[in-house]
Amino acid sequence: MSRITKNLWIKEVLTLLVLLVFIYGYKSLEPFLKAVVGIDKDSVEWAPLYTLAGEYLRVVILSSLISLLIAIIIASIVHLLQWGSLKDLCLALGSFGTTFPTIAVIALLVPSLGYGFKPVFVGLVLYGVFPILNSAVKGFEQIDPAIIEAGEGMGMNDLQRFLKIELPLAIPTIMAGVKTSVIINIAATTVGAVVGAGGLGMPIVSGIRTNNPVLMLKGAIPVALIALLTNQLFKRLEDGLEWRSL
Amino acid sequence: MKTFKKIEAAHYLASVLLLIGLFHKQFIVVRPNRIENGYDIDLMNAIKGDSLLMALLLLMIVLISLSYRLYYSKKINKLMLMFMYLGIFGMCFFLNGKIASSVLVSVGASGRASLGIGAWSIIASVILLMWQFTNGQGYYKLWILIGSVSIVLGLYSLEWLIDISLVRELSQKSDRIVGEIVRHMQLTFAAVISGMCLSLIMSYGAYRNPRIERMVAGIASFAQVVPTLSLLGLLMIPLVYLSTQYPLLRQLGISGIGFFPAYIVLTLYTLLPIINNTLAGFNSIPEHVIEAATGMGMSHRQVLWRIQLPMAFPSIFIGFRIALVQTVGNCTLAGLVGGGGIGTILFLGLAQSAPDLVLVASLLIVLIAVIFEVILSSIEMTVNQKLRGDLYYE
Repeated sequence: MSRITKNLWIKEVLTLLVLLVFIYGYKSLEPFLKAVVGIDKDSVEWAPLYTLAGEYLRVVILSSLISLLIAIIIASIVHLLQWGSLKDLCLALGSFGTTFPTIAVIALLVPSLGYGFKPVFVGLVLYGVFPILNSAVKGFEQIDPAIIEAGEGMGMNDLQRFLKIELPLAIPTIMAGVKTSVIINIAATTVGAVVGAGGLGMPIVSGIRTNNPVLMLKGAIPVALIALLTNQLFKRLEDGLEWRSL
Repeated sequence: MKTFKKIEAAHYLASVLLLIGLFHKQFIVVRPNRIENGYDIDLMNAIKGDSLLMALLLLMIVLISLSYRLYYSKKINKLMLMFMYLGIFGMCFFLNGKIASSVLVSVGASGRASLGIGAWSIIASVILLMWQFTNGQGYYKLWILIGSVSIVLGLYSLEWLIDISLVRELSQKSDRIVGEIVRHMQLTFAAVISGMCLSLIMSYGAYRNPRIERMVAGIASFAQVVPTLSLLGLLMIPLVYLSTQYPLLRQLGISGIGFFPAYIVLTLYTLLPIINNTLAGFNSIPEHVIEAATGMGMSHRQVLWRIQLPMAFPSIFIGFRIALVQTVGNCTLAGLVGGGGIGTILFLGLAQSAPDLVLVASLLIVLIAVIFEVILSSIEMTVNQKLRGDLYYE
């Protein structure tokens, strides 16, 4: 039974379905939510929930992709230079960067970039680089030297060795960093509503400010579902990569 | 290329930062008052005509180059090098404070002097040098941290830094800020301690029974994956329900907003790092050690208290450290739901569009996180050295 459910992706499909039903059918769900919570406050409708969700997902995906690109480029350069102290520096900066609370990074960008999506986006890109960089540097480091030697023995040059051996072997480790980064990004984009970025954080933040639980749920449920779905998909990806590398 | 790589990467970066600091056109930003836009002054213009400051700057640069020389010399005297770095650090802050005072003379009492890109570059460069020095040097990290914090506190109490806008913001609201720091610590420790108790019980259960392990892993990863803000929203419903149904709970302070939801969310967030590390610790104990203990007639409880917990302790402690440092950062969001803490100051700064206030709050959070990190890793080092002598470990 458990194998069948695993192969049919039942958990993932169910999460996605609930998410879609909630986002597109929110209008008809609202009275029900109000009845459950027992509070009937009217709230301002800025934009339909699916527009908010679209904005939100766009920011998360775009910023994650850009951070991935930047981190991979930096990590590759660091790896190709083979310079131990630079590697240490990168790892240390990576772990220092994550002690900064995300909201602080976003808030500090507000004076120069203004309120809205811009500081959130730039903050996410900056912040998202650290976990990926960390895992990428570690991933390149962990490769068995014997494999690299074998590649050299086959007459590969440095670039071939990097593209054909080191990069593919480091991908599972890099993906772990990407997962952390995306999960952090999802959380940070939600918080970004504090500086006026829209998205699904907006109902939550205004729900907190006006003490309106229904409004909070309007944002909190889809955000939680998106986060869970992302986690499940990354797990699938990890399983796939593991299987491939065996 | 080989000679190029002989020098530490951090030293190249520090030198570049120092050069940026010396020549960037925005060393310090002067504003006629708190809100108005200001103008930039570069370092050379800021110290022009003041021979004391010029001499000090020159001395600082000479000391930095000397420290490079000392760092790479074979006969390295670490204690002397440490004091030298601390001296450079103090000089850097003194210089910034004095420059701020001197540029403020022209704008008057309501003026503000904020540190600009140049000033921050120089500070970052000095901190980077200190980091490179303490890297892998054991307890020097702790001493450098204590030294630099006391230098800044000393300069602050002598009122030499008071003209930097950041410091002025800090001293004007110092009562409130101290209160929020205390609140932040209360919230952090309450969450980490209860998270610790919960996850120790859960991981012991998981260690004994694989079915519990799957459940525990599910709970911990759920708490880690769902964003804090969303979790706060989801928690609000049951909490509001409880507090309206049972007045007793409301009197105890349980409600949808304030300390309690923040405390629960933070506790949930500490579960994953502690459980992961505790389980790793339990699993790393060799089977034959436990067999030997049971063979000696120890009961389950005795095995737990005398063998498993002491042997898993180093790993559990790592989990505790990670959870604590992470919670200090996460606790920022408590400010949004009225839970108090340094986050309140950050969101206040955001609402007033006062970047200095935001900076004060963020720097405080980072500083507290770094202090915990350094202190706990030092404890970890000491304990591990002690344990290695006592325990049978393969």
